Amino acid sequence: MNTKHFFAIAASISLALLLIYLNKPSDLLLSIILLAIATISCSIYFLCDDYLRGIYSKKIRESALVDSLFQFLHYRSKGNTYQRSLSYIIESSTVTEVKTGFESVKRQIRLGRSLGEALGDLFKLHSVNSNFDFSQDNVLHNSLRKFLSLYSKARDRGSSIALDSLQRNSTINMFLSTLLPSFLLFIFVGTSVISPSQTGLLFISLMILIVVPSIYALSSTLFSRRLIVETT
Amino acid sequence: MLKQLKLFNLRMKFGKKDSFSDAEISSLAVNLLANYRKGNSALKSLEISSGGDLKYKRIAILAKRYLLSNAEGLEKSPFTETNLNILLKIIHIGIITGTDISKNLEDFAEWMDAKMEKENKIRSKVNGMQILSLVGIVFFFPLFSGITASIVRSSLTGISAGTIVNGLRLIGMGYIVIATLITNSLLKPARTIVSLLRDSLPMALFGCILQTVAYTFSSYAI
Repeated sequence: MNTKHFFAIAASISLALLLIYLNKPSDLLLSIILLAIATISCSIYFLCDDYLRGIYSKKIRESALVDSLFQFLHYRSKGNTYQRSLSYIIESSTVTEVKTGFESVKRQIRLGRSLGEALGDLFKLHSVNSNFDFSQDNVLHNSLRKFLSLYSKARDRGSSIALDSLQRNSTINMFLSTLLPSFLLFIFVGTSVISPSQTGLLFISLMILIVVPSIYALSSTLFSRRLIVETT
Repeated sequence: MLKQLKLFNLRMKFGKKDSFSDAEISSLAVNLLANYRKGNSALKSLEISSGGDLKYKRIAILAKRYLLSNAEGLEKSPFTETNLNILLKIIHIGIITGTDISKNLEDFAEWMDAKMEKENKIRSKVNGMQILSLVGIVFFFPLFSGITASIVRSSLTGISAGTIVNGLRLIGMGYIVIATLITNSLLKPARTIVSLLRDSLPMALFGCILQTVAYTFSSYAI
């Protein structure tokens, strides 16, 4: 649990208190329902946040791994040995997991394992799909090059897909963040003109402060997920 | 001693929060490459490339200290920017091995340019979308809310109209704050709550002020 979560809890409790304050007739059941809905919306935000953080850190690791492979090939093409090239990429990598992974590869090679097998394990650990031929070193070198070119092509294609979907997502976001709550307000006016009571106010506050933000957070999460997966 | 004082002055002047953009790092790499190809050593080119600009000079001074201090790994690097650290690493390897690093610098500059172009394209679209959502939240929502308030005031009379309008104002303000936070937070998952608040609160305040103005006008519009 981080500061974002504490903030979300505080916000949801204050929202629930506000709603209970607006609901002046002391209806215990309604207050409990409001608190429960506030907690559910807070949980939705937790889940969205954790989910996106997980995806983001995984993509950062994957990206760092591939960047390190680019550097590895570059140092190899300069005539350095495997061990020396691995030492260079271990020094230059800024992501701890990737650094530890390549240190493990280096250790395994020293113990007599082939580079292909060790790299294959590292890729499996970070769940990157690769079809390397691990039999010989020269074939491995070519298959690494092929993998990197395929990876960069896939990334370019992914970013163009993400750019295409941006327009659609912006329309959905605009609808959820502005038009839907505004229409809810207009509906509220209609109902309050027919029967002026405070229950309508309670209902509209529940919808606008808890339900609509939850839907908006969910849709934003799906959109951000696509953006992170395709472009990072 | 004089050198240390100068360094101290530079640090005081820029502070630790001074950061370098990708464009600045790319331009430094291009200048470095041009000076390196003239036959200067890597460190000398770094000094010349920093020119008269104090910001680049700070890079050169801190980089020189880092490169000459036999630092192992990047943990002791004075910079938080990954790209700048990669550039330093290229120079570091050039110094250690004594090989020609002009090709590496050229690759780095090309890679930085391609990366910047791609990132700027995506960032401009994402920012455009975010601004569209924020404009909706802080301008159109208060506008519709104000229209709603004026309809409520004109259709209902007595205490219930006042209570309902006050309730709507509270709900609207709460919604503006929540929606701006969600818009900012879910697009940038790596950021902390403090930076998110710093980004979203000015827009939220602006929206709340617009809403107050709209509600004030709604009371005169009857």
